[in-house]
Amino acid sequence: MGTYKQVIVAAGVALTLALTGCTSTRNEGAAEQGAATQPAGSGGLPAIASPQEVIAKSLGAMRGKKVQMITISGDGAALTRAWKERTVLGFREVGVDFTAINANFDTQVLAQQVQTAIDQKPDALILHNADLSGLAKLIQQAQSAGIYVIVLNLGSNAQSDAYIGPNWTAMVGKLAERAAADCKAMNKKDVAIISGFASDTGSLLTVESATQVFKDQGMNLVASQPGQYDPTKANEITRTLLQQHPGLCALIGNWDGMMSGAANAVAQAGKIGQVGVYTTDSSDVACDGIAKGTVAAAVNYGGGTTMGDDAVAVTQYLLQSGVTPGASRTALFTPTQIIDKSNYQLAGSCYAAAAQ
Amino acid sequence: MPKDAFALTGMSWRHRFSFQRSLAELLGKRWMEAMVPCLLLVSVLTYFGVTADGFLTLDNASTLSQNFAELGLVALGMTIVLIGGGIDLSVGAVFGVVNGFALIAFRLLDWPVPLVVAAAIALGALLGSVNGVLIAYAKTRPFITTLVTLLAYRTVAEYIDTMYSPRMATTTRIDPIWDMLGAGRLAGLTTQFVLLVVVALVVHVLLSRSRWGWRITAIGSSRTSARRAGMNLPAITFSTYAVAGALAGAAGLLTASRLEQSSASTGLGMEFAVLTAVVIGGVSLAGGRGTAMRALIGALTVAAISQGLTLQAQPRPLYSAVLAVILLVFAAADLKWGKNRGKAIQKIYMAPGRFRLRASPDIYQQGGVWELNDRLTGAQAIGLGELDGPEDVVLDERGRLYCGDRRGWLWRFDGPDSPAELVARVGGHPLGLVIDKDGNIAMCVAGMGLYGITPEGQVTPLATDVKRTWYRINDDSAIRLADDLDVAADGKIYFSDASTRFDGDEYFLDLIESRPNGRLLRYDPDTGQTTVVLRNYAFPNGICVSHDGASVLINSSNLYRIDRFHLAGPKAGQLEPFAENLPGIPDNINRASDGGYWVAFAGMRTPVWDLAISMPKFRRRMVKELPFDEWLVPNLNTSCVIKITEAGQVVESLWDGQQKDHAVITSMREHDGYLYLGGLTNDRLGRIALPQHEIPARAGSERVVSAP
Amino acid sequence: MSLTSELRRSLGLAAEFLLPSRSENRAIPSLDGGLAANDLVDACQVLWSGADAEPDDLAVADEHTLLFTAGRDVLGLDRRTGRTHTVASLPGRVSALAPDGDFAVVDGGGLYRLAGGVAERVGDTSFTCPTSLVHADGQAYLTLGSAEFAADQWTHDLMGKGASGSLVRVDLASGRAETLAAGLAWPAGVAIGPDGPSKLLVTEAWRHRVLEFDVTRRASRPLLANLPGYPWRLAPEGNGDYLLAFVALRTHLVDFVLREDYFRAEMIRTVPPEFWISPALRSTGERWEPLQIGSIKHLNQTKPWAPSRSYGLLARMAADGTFLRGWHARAGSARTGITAGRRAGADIVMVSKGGRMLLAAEGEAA
Repeated sequence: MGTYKQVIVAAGVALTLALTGCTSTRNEGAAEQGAATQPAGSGGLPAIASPQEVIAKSLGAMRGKKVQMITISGDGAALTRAWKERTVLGFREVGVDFTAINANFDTQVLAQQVQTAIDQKPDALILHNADLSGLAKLIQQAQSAGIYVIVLNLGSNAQSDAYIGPNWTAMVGKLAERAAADCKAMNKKDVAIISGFASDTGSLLTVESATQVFKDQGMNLVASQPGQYDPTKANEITRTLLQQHPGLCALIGNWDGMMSGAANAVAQAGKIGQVGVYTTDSSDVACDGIAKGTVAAAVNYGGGTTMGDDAVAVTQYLLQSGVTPGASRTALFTPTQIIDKSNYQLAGSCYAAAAQ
Repeated sequence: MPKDAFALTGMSWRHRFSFQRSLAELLGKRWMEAMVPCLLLVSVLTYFGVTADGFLTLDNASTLSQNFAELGLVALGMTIVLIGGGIDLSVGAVFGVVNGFALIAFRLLDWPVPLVVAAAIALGALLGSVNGVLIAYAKTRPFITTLVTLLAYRTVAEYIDTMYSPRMATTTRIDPIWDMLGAGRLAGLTTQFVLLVVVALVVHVLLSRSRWGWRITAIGSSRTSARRAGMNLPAITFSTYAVAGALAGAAGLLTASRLEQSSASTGLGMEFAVLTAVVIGGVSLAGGRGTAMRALIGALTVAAISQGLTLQAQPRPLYSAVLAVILLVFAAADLKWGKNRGKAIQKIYMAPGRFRLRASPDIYQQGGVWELNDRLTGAQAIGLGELDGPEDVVLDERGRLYCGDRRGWLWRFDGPDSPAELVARVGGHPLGLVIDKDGNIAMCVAGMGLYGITPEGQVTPLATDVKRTWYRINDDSAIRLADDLDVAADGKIYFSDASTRFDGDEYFLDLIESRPNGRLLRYDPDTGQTTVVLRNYAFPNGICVSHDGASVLINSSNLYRIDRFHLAGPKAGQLEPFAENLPGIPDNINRASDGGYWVAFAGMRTPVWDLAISMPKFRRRMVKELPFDEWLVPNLNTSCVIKITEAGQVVESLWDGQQKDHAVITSMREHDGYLYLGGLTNDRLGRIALPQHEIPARAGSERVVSAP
Repeated sequence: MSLTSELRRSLGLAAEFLLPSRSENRAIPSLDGGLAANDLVDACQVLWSGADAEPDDLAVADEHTLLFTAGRDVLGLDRRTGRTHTVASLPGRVSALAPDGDFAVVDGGGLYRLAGGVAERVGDTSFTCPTSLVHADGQAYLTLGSAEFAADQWTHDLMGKGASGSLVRVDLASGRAETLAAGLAWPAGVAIGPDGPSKLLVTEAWRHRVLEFDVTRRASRPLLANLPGYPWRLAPEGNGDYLLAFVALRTHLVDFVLREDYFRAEMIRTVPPEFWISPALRSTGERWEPLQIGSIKHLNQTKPWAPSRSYGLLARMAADGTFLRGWHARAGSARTGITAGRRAGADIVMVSKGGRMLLAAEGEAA
């Protein structure tokens, strides 16, 4: 599809820029371009400054700025709690006035919360979408109102200053290949996909990527259903699938909170070891599943570990840079790693976040 | 322009106002039925205005108005169904389905926006019609049926979401009308709000002023009666569900244009919020009661709570918890309010005030003018056994007697020994009488006003209402207690309206309240107009034009005094005391043949009563804690007649010392050497002969009444 | 009314709401069951009536002779002839007679033994406000209504919420008086209990109850509480039943005024006692008498159930306190204010102090 290709191209360009930016040193940049590259009226540090001045000036630029994070996932999700933990910590460190709220999986409430937040004219918003179009108008409205918008994990059709998330296509592709390999080892072909909401980035790309990989690997896709990010729903879907397709060998889905329901269904049906559950995100839910054997493999894309810090970092950059909101639109991808029985106990593989 | 007689009470201007009285009168207003929901709305808005930062900004108001509009449309639909006696639990699901469909039509099918709008509303109506058909024609129960359709439509919404959301999510289409619908402004107000207002007005007019609306209310109030009255129950019930579906569909369309998201959870659980909204607004779940405005008040309250909690960044489950608590407390409060409003008003309606009275003259003083005697004992009984409560008596030139009757009649006696003849059935409670030389009678009828009666018995209303006092909460345009009257030289009739707050049979409530609630009125037979001459007078009772016709004497029953109101001359329009601090309750006053006046005391002041008058809180507690029969009143079982001179001096008193026959004397009339006695609760008229020295040569003392 | 009394009243109301079982019972019981209203007193035979003298207490000397007090005299009535003779004239107002007529006590004076037409003083003690007298086993038991007021001023004691009455025992041999109980709210009647002189029945008028007083232990317990009127004198009928006279019924207005301290104080200070809101022996219809709405005449008649200042009630009570029968004189009757009732032979005789007469209900003795 057209937009999909655009996303890939944009992602590629952004990656190049990011890499360039990351690898070039300050002096190189300054020597090559000089002060004229800085957009007019922008913030930022002067060319030469002492370490104390750096601290003072940059903190001064950020002090008292209002940032609000609004997520679709609720406090019950480890992901949300992990983000909250890191962002609260990070923003407090730099003196930013930060609040985090969530819509508890209610898409209408999310829109209301974002609209209300925009009315209060913060300096930056960190959003987590429920679908591609729900917040599109609001994101555009925010950007034209002069608010920085950083999108986490699940993106929107409307592009904003920064998107931080995994390359879903590649990540799910890896996972699907692993699932296909495991199925081949068991001489089975039936596989199923459980996505989240029907129209959010993660779900769309999961379905697309997994379907493609399964086709390439000769697997038989028996079902692809939205689980609404609800473990109960995933449980029901799984139970039905297990009854209808005794030869099912793999269930792949995005978000371990939801797939824990599928894992439970597999355990209840007594099919541990015969049916593999593959999921993105590696919170303690997935890792417990790996330990018990109900989850075959998970992918750690930094959701619970580094994404919060990334958000703080990008926000700091935007707040100091003085760049006009919406003038530059980027997508920043996080590294991914398959977690399974072999490495789940290593530090950094799994994460857990205490209730706030 | 009416003269104010408040100063006679002896109290300061502060005592003109009574918070309790104003509250009681306010609560009695019909529009106060909606008091509790309005109070709730105001408190919610105030609370969030104070505690949530940014609640009272224009931006927030716009956001709020959008949510309010969508909730409000669905609430209007639910209200229509509820008023008709049903319930529609599937509105949220219809909302969700139409929302999805609108997006499909707009983005995937590329229909022009007006077609999308029409199709969305039509789909909503169709989905509602399914409910309608099942409930109205198949006669299934509304609750179960709409619960089933709720589940069915939810499944459809999920199906739409699963099947089409991925495609819709990645298709965009920009259309100016669509944007206008979703995010546009009309004169500063959001489009959704304007649409809501228009729809609400239409629904309000339809519900309150169209046949369709009346029929729905009739069916909701009493299904059996509506059926027996010949209404087409199935058609009307069907229409309510169809309309509810259409309104839910319209709301779904507005959400689709605003949020452009379709998810399986759109409208999930909306029934709860809508039900809460209508219950808070005061629409009865049992049917038959409710208006569009009430539904909107409830919807606005719910939307404000949602918006306020969001602004305060409260966790989402708190919203449901708050709604549940408010619903519980509120439904109980509204129910209690509805049941107990009348009782509450009754309890506080009488707001005792205070009069400043001087100590009563000692009626037990030996040889004083108040000494007990038997001059009225043995009065000749007229109409014994036939009369019930002849308050006043009047005689015509031929010596025929006329008197009123508590049952609303006017009697005539040809002579003291003749049988009673019924002249007219006036209605109300006939009180004061006056007659002219042609035999036309003008009568004060308590509860109705001033009436004229011809000798043939033809009754005409002369004065029944006056211009309402604009600053009084109570509507005092009705003449509540027309008591006594007299005719001035120019033919105008002056009569008293004893109380603007109590009716005739509750006169002791006015007595116990002790506030100046009465007024003096003047009827002009030439123009037919009635004007208020004196206001804030304490229970004006007897009225008598003085012998020279230049002033009117007014009895104040509650202040135990008689005042003179000048009609002509240098003191015209002034009120001055005539006789103050009387020991009894002056009722009627009439001219005596010797240039003085006869005054009837309907009862006597007692020392404990005088003490109670000075203590309003004592009286208030007495009224609250004691049964009605045990309340303290002045001694209304003892009456007398006194003669008072033109200078205001009491020269004699006539009693029935044995208290045998005339327990209460409220009026007396001198005619041809006799004094005729009438009483409010007596079973007879009485007559005594006056000793020669009291009657001068001139006989008769009646003035002319100009025929109406 | 001052702020503190308002506060106290509000707290009282709140306490009454929260702890209803602990608050005083303010409801006046209706006349029901054995006390169902009737007009039997009006049907009684008049044995004696006087113009000025107010008969108060009654004694039965024998089947045909009744003794009663009237002012300073103790009069005897021969029922066969209907004539009275003076049995004794005492130095002060006689306010109590022993049941058999042997003893009499003077208000503010002493206890006298009446024997053969001569009054002989017993002891030196002067008794204030004696209301009732019994004797047994050489001991006389006397109730004193109040320490402040005379027996005729009972309305003063009621409206002043007095509770200074006492039960006194006088040793008839030595004349020594001993207070057995004090702080009683107008004990108006005393009688020997069904178990003998060790337990006395004492009425406590202002607390509208009958107490059973144990003489040896000097302790009392309420036998009957929350009576519908003010219980006056008590007399055994001989078969275990008692005749209890009520001088007047309780009305809500009087009970209300007893709660309204400021009004009551002003009323006592400024209003003549005969015009107070209080019970009375008779309704005079005086012009300044307080009136209640239910008593307003309609068509020249007062309803018999109208709230009234005066009432006449003599009740027959079983030893356990249940009421078996009552003789009533309702509102509008002239024979109100029944202060004593006794059994004389086959009849019940009673004193109507308000009507100034002695009445007999013939053949009514159980």
